[in-house]
Amino acid sequence: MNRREFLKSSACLAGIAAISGGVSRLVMRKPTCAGNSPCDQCKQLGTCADDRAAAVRALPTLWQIDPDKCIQCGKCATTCVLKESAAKCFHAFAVCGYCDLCTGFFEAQPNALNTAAENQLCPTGAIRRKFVEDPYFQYTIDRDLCIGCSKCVKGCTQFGNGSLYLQIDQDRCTKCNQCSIAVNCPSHAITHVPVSRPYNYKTKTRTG
Amino acid sequence: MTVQPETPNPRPTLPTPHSPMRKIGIGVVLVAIPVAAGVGVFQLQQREQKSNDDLERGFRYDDSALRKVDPALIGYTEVGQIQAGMQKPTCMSVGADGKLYVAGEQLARVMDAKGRELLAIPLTGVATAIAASPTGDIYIAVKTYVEVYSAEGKRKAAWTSLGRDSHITAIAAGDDAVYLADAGRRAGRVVVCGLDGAVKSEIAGQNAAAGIPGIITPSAHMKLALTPEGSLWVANPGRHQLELYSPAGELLKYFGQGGTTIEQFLGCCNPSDFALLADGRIVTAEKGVPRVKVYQPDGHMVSVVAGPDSFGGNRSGLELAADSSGRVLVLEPGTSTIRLFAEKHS
Repeated sequence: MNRREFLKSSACLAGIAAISGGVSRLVMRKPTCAGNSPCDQCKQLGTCADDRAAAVRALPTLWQIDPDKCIQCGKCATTCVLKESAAKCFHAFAVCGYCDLCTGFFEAQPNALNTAAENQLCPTGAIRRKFVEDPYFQYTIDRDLCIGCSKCVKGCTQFGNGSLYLQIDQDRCTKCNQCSIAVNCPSHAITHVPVSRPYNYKTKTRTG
Repeated sequence: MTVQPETPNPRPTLPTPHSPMRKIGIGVVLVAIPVAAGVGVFQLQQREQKSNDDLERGFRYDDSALRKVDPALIGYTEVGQIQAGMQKPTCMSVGADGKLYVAGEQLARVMDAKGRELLAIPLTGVATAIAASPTGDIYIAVKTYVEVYSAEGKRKAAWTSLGRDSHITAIAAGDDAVYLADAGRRAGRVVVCGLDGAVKSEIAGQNAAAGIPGIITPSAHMKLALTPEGSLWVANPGRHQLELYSPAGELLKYFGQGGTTIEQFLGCCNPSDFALLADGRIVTAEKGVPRVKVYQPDGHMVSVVAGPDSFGGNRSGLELAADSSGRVLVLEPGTSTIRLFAEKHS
């Protein structure tokens, strides 16, 4: 091989290596300093990323949704590491208006106020409607069917009292070190809560 | 003749293990495998992202159809604006003298029809309702009780609280009685008080014998207004109705229906506010889909004052009043602005 061929081959290999490096950078996550030398962030904080992660795991906290920050974007249903999201709809009965025309139960323009599938807002039919007495209807959530899409929460919050809201079901949550929903939540509504208060329950309000 | 022996075809020369071409080939293969894997993973991620985006689109609550209003129905046009002059206005009314009364967090203001301040009254809490009597006294509700001020702004009295669970959402002051709308509980009530604040009676409560279904207040939205004849219009937001009561508490008539058409009232607690025009027609406001409409006393919808597009993202409720010239005043709490609408043909 003469010098010209050698340089040509080297340039070719270098180009391929650069392309593959760029692609792998896109695909692979940012490496941490779990190896030998600490990264800049670890140097700045004076602790190792692995130590910090271990400390977070050791803390008695859980992931939970703040209903006041939730914007009902639907990402809870699609970004949880579980196939069926750990986020579920909860119902604050004390806040509910028990309305006949429930905007959390019915489509925006229902054909009639009955439980026919085409009139229901919930894509999985997870909300049960039961007549109590004129003019009240009770709505309960079947958590096994709920996928946490927040469609009902949006309808209830926009037009009603906001008695329907999303919470992470702690019985289903796998307590990931970094919650996948929290990473994708556009309103940063998912934060750590102490184990002693695992849910952000809504309480009675009369402000409407 | 001599036959030339056939020379066998030369065998193709393969790169030797140490040839540069072979090394390059191995290098290309070694690089191509991770590149292909990377591209594959990247494409899978993109596909999953697209799938999630499609799902999220399906989960969106589409209320665009509810927000559309036929332009032909809009019978009013905006003619001006007045600044409320406070950060969090909560209630508004127009007195018989044409003055504008606005109250909110720790402040009440009295203005003339052009918005010039005539009086400012500091309050100890958040006002939930304000009204002026025919004699000029100003009644301001601070959630559970009422404070009375003179026309000059001097505090005259503070009435006894209606109870810890009460939430006064509207006041109508007559010649010899003051009517308070209490939406603090799930069953609303109208408390009739004397001018001294003593409770005389309650009306609009459930009474099957009298054919009164009872006021339902899913949230703290319940308004009332006195007619010139002394009858009382009361909003029944849980039933999406407006009900007319005699001074003695008899239910005279009612209209209104829950639903998604423009003539009906949508949502949990609508109409969230209403006001009486001088000619007896009724202006209503809704929350959720913010819109203001005008009805005949028999329930026939006359026109739309302003549709949801006029109020942007304000969904929490609008405050209404009407003056003697027929203008409709709409208080937007979010922007602290009072918007004035006049009928187009006038």
